Amino acid sequence: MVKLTPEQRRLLEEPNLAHISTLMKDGSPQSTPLWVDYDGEYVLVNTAEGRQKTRNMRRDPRVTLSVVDRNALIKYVEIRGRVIDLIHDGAYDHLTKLAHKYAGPEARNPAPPEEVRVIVKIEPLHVSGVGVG
Amino acid sequence: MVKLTPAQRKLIEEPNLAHVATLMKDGSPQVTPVWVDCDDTHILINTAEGRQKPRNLERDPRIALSIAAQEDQQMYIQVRGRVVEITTEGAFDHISKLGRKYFGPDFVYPKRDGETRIIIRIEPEHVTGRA
Repeated sequence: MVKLTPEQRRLLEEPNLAHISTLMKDGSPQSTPLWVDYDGEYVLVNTAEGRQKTRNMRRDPRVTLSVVDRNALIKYVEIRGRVIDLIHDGAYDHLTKLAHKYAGPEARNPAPPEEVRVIVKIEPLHVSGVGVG
Repeated sequence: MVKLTPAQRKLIEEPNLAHVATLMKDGSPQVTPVWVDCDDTHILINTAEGRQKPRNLERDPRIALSIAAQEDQQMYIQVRGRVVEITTEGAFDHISKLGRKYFGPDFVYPKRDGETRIIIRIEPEHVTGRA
């Protein structure tokens, strides 16, 4: 487990989009943008059952995220880590919290009712970046 | 080979960053944000010799990238593909052109001693998203 510096943490706490890469069945990479959250220890992202990245992370827990400062495109952090849990409990509320963070306090939860949301808990193992301490 | 739609192409042509995933020796993913460009058939990125990305791509040409619109983050594309060429030819001019795209017409990309730029040409094989 690696702890993020205050500057790295700031990038995750502000409404900057993360891009997460996971591994397909054949070992090739897949990359998608998504909302991200940090609880002081773990990086948390929110996705849904049935999606490609969810299937990928269940098969192979190795993931990498990159987050760029939306106001200074030269600042970014890369976090290589491992998925340690995929959690259904509280995942819908977690998405609501992320919607407020990224789209404003009035924003509605974008998930359709039939969707099963998942919190992905990621342990940071290796953190680097340019312009972030 | 998949052809990009005009909307997907527009997302690449505007100054949005691409996040590029390559594979480390142990098969784990590596991701970095990069400047990006395209022509009629391929997606082009630019890096420098000796960096992790080109080392990874020489070993395994499988690559993925995702690009979200800076102005509207709900608009994005994700691409899976394969590197078909890595070349130094025209690579400094290409990085200069990318610099102007992202930082404006007056931007001059600095020539750095010992840095050899390279263009990585990517054939898109699978493209999805909301563009």
